[in-house]
Amino acid sequence: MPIPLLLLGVCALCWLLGSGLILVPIWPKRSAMRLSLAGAVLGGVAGCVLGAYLVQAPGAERYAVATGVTVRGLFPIEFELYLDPLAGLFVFLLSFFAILIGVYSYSYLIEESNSLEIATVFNLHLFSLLLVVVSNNVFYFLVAWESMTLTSVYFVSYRHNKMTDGVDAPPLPNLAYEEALTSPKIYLIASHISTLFVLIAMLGLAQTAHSYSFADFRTLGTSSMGSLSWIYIAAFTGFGIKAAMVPFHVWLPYAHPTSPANIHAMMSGVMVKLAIYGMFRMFFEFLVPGEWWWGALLLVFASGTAFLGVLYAIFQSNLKTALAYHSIENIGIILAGLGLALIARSATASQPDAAFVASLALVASLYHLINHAVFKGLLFLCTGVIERLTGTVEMELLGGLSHRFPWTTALFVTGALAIAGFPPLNGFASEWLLVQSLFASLGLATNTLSGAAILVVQVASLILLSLAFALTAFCFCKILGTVFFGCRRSESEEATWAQHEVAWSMRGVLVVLAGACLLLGLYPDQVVERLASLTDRLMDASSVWFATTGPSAIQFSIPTHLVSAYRFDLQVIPVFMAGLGLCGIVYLIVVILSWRSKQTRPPIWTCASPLGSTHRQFSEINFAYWVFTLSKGILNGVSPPVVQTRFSFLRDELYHAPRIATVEVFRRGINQGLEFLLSRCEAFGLYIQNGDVRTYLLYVLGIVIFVFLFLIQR
Amino acid sequence: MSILLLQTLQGFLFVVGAPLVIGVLRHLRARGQLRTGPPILQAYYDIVKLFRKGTALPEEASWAFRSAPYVVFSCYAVAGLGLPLFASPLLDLDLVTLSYLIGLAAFFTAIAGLDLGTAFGNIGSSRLLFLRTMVEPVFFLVIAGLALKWQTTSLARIVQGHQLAPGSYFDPANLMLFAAVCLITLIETHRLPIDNLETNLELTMSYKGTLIEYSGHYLALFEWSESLKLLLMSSLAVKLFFPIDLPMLSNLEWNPLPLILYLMKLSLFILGLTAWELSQIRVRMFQVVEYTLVSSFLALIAIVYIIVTMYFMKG
Repeated sequence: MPIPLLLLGVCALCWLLGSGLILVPIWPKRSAMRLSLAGAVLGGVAGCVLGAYLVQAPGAERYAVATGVTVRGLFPIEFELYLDPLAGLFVFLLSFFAILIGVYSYSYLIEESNSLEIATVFNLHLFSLLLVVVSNNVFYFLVAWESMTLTSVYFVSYRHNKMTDGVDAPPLPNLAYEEALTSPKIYLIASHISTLFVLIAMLGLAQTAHSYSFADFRTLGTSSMGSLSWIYIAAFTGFGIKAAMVPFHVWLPYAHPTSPANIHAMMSGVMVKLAIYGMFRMFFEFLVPGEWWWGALLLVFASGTAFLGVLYAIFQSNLKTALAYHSIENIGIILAGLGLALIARSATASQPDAAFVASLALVASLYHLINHAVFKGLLFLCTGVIERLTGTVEMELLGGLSHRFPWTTALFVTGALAIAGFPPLNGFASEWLLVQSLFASLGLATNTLSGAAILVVQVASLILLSLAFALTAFCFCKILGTVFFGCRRSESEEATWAQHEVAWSMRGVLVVLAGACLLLGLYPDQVVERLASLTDRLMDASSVWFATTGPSAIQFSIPTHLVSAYRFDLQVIPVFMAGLGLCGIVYLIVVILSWRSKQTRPPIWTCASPLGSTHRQFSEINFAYWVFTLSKGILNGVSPPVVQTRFSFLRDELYHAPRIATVEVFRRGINQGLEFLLSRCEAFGLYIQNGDVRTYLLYVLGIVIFVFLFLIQR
Repeated sequence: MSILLLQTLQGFLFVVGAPLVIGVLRHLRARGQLRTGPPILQAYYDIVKLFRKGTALPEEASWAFRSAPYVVFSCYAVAGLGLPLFASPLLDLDLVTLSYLIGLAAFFTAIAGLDLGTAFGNIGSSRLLFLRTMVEPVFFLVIAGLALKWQTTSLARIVQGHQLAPGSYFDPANLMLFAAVCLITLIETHRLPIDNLETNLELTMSYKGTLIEYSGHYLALFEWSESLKLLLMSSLAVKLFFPIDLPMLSNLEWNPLPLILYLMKLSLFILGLTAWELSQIRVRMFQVVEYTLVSSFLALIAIVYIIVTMYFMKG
């Protein structure tokens, strides 16, 4: 038995056994839960080894495990596994998260009433994610896709279950309960519409290739491009809904925050990424070579997603929801890389060098995908810690956590700096690559109408993406300032907080993720080298476009039709070392210069109010006032935030700032559209089902005639 | 003289000479307003005084408040090490990294403003980051224009490209991008129509508001960083678009001419900035959007011009 298959088997078996534990009556439940999590971790270790092996492996390997069902008249359905570096990358990511979340949940789930259920469904979820990545057949892919959705629905309905059990009284009764109730429904509907479109695309491909196997899709080649465009649109919509691309994103801010925080990290870090995995397979392996407008379409949607995602994130007062909107933003950034690659690929016909640009854009996209999983995992797990420590994730109730919980603060700040893309953390490296690939693809401009259209799209997406980068920094500054720094917002709330930090197992996981943020940022050369060998294979580009020039310094050189090649260098460690060294030197200078001067610790000036600055500091909405006023039209907000001057002396009363109810334009549009559709359907249904026996007899007659006609034709 | 020594000297002069620029600017401005004004070295006196004065560190301050001055200072200093002022730079920085370094400094300044929970600090942070958000797309557009023109975003290579293409200074695209960078400089360094650093009224402060609780050596570092920022942005403007004076990057010979020429250009720029500031009054916060729109349109026109002349004509 070949090694990869063996590892895959061990991994899948561990996760299946872990999920099977719910059927075995082990008492107490806590040990069953721990056993199940151990299964997740063990499977994760096997999966990590497998993923690392596959990413290093020179080529793809196909395994037909067992010949499956063959129904007459249909294409044969064979259970087939496909293990290539791309699958390896996702298997690695998935398994890495399985280990981390397994360890984290070990302490996190103890306080849950239904911890065993969560642990076992988590294992099942892992198994279905694995199956999505490795299956090589339409049928099994869709089965795995569907089971991925169904297992995650359990997590989405988690808060609802909790509320109906009466275990947990909702903190804000009406709103939270309503949301917890509706989110599983919305999630299910959105997922199934997504599956429908994916199904259409897959069946379209199957019809063209006369097979259900992905292997035959890969060799489809350039048979008939005109007819493949509708498959592209279907796949774009289907995977776009699942990836929460902007007009289709409405489900995500509902669904993700209602799941438990540890699973939230999994869903945002890995599950949403599998839609991107689907896009990789579809756009870069099956639908080759594509048309020029495919990439432009994707780029428009992607940059819109990035911009609007972060804009909505700024106005969220719930930490989990804000992070969920940031997931949307980062999905936009990842998709922008895909869009650029599609644009560059369509230009390869006239400019062969465009393949290098395409490869670079794909590297940027995959790099950001990994980075987003890491820093978003860190942020979500930190949020889980905050929830455990303080019992809430409402930013209005938190404040000044840095004084009591320095570890959590430091780790969250690391994640925030990474997501805002500041050097030397990992977000910087991938955003840098993406921006550079955008510049390089601007240079592919051609003197045609389509070239001009692409140029407009590229420049617009440059503006939107850079706005998104800046607004991310804005939003995380707001979150840090509201939740961690500043002073407490309410004494009564603070009294309920935990006295100490969480258990070391949870903190350890966070430290590992923060370390991964730093390492991925400091050594981009290692990452780019591995990813480039992967994307070059997808793009048929030879790996000559980049060179490592010393530790963590990369030089890219992309040939152009101009005199000189497009060249740029990425140096992180020198900048980082220079920064650290300067910090040290300045510290020494300060110590020397202020040798004799004395330091005092007075209280701050609070304008003579007896209450300190608890009542005077900004609420998170006030902080975003400027952005709000400029983007009112997009946000469709109800009332502008005003700095209220109402505060009561001598009473430590929680100060509630007016909240902006950002009714999303898209959510409203979709609601109205659905309402219209449903009311029409209802009217039509009432028309058909008029309750008259004669009408029903008429229907029966019609069906009988139809069946007869059908049989005659056969 | 070995090149490394020259490069180190360049970085050292950048960091140490920065307060002089602020001093000159303030002095010129006072002269323009028919005042005697502070001596040119006043900025140094201020910094030394603040260092020796003793520090009042608020009770409620967390590590963010204490670390911010160091982070901000080293961000600007590292950015300065990447500038080819009169020799090739120590660090081969590119413009995207530079923009993120400036962003990191703004981020930490804003965090420091939020740390104590005072209303003025909060207002300052909010405004500072809002301005930063307005500037970032324009800066990226300018970088895109430069990348298209020179096929690189590395500062040193752009300067090299200028020297290999004589007459590139008065290329319309170059001039338009220069104008855009000038407008960015006004916003980034809090110059007059956008922000008034000399104001004493807390309600009107944006950048200064974040520093309102700082004193002693922390404030000294911030004052120094402020001058570094001014020198950084103005050097960037004169260097990226008019690098008349740089010795060839491979040239190891010590030559005072580039330094003199650089200082002359810098003085011209500062003179222009003073004249501009004297003719301006502070605008409302939302009118900043008009400035960023103007500069982004300039950058956009430059991009279109470059693509049409360089890519369409040849390709």
